[in-house]
Amino acid sequence: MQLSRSLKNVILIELFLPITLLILGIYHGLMQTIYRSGAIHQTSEVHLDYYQGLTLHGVINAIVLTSFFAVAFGHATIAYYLKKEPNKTVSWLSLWLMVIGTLLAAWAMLSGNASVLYTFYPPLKAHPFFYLGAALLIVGSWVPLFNWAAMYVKWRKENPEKKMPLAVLGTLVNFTIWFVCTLAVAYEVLVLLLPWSMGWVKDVNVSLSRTLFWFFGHALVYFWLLPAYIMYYTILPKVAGGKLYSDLAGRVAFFLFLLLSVPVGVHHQFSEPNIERGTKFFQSMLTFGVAMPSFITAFTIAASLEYAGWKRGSKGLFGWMNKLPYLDKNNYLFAYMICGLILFIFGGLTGIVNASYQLNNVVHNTAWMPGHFHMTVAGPVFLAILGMSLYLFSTLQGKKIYLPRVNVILPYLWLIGVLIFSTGLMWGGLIGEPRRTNLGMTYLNPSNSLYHPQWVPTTMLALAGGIIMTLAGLLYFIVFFGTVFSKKSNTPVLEFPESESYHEEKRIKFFDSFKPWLVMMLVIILIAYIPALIDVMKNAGPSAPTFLPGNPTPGAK
Amino acid sequence: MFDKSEKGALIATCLITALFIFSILYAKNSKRIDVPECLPYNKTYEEPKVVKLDTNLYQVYAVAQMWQFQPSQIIIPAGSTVDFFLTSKDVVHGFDIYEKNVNLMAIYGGINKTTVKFNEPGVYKITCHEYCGIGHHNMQAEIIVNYPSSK
Amino acid sequence: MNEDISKNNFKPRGAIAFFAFFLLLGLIIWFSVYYLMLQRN
Repeated sequence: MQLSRSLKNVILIELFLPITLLILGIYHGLMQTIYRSGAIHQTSEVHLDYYQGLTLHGVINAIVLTSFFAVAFGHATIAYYLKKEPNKTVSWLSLWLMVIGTLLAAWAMLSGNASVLYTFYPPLKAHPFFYLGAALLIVGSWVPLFNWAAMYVKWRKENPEKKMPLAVLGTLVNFTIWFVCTLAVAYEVLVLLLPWSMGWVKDVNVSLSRTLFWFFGHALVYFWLLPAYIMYYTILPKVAGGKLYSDLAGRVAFFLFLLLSVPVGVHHQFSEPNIERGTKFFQSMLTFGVAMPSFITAFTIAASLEYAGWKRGSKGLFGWMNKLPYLDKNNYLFAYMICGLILFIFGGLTGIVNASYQLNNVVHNTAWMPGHFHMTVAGPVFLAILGMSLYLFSTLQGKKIYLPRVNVILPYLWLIGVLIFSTGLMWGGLIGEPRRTNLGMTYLNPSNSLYHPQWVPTTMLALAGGIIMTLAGLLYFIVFFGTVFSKKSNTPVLEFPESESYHEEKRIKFFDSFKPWLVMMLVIILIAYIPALIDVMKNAGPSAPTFLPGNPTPGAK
Repeated sequence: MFDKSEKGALIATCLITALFIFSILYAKNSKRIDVPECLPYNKTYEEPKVVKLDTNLYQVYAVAQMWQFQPSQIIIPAGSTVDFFLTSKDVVHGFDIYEKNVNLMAIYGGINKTTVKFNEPGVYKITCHEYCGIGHHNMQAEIIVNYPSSK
Repeated sequence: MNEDISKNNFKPRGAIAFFAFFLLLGLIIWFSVYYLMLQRN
């Protein structure tokens, strides 16, 4: 498909900007492992304070990069499969809102006025531009959904008996989840936090803010994951040389995510006051539910890959694993995706631990947490984003990959780095190492009274892993920018490898329409969250004044 | 409609999940290991203190603030059961005694509660594990659990 | 025709074996943390 210059530019800008910001995001990731290991004992290096850098790291890598990518990949997917381009005005409006929001938030963080981390829990206060910027970024990412949904409705009228393409289903489900969950955080940011940060309102209900944040916060991780899942179902089987073992499994999985991504947010609040045990237990059970579509996906992808290996003549129970195109430099998307999947085995399973009610007491807010999520958001999600961004730039601009041999190896380097890194973190977490802490100042400083030598090996492992990850990141930037700035040599085109279905699966209307699922989604959200909100309103005490990171005096401006 | 092996994978997943849920319930009901208890807010919890209810029964009213816990040193005899009540005077803090599964958040306007039995003597550190400003990495308290025969 | 015959020979036994290993790994990870929790009670 040939894209208009307008849509091509929208997509490419939405990929280029966050990957450029990622340089800073990865730099501070490395810095954190250095600070935490006690290799340096500083609050601040090169004018970036630890907690300021931590905020930048989380916001850039986990909010900016992921949201921009989801929108850009969404535009490309919708255009390719519905064979029509999204509306030009809408796509540029969305882009401008997101860019302006990002710039406002970036200014706030870089000027040291928003060292509140990407969760920005009140009553720690950031500069109003941080909240405003975040709101604009989120609203900007909503805008395309309405256009895509309208395009789908039109397509459905023209094709009443055709199965909607799985990638379209995944995209619309993903952005519906996103829109619903971000309503809560938009309310938190625009109504509770922004006026309070400007001094118009004198206090903020901390528990309510947190509950609204986590209504958003868990669904956020599915917003990150689902574009990768779309690739696993619709692209991976093809590039592996096989077929998608079950297209229906993909549809079921996406609809289950639609139902269960949102009503589980309280599992991030197990350790908090004001929410009753019963509410926490119920949402823990729902979280086991949302693990199901991932398990289905694991099996379906394994079967699809096995078929690919079998087609190439593999024998035996595991022979297929040897017959896959791991290092084919002309098929680098496979490398990015398989490394992500290997990491996700561990990332997903450790996530089940986190969801398991009182097991949370062992791991909450320890280093186990970043150990877990670097094998999810910094695993399948990150690698899918990097691989696909490179792919889209290369194909949409008609440019050859720069250093293709380096490109196909770097995902494996990243994989090894993260495994070492996360092992160090999880081990440390199980022996009490806290997250979100500049350990080098005290706990990992031998001349400090809080010195805790048990965390030396764990932070050293994380440092080693972090260095390897940074090296992989550096290689990626060389490949990416080398490709972007190289000369055009092919015909620009928008095309995706498209998986074929292994089984002949007839269209099942129930798994090919949104209405029943949207209704069920709403009902489950109400059942899960009305009790949580009632708990908070019933139990919470006074609201809190403002506090700045450097100032224990309440009401600081 | 559904492939046989897909169905099998789903059933196996459900069985494993059931095993996990059963184990959670067993720990909750038989071993009394649970998430923190929820109390409605009350101003009396804002004042830090240690209350001895009996020889081996204590209450610690803990208050987290930027950047210390109060009380910062708690001395109890081995074999004591302690109820911890926790709130925050300012931003969100963590309260983690990792050797004892004590893992709480201190939140302004909220009262958190958990109960622990300290059988083994030793020094147990309470670490703040939620970012709370520039002094966050300096925020630790301790519980000194004495041998029963010591004063 | 040939396609159908070849497809019919394929059974995802390897995927089933992988999935079993995956569930086993899950049990190991989960019960390790569970055991730690029981020990610290």
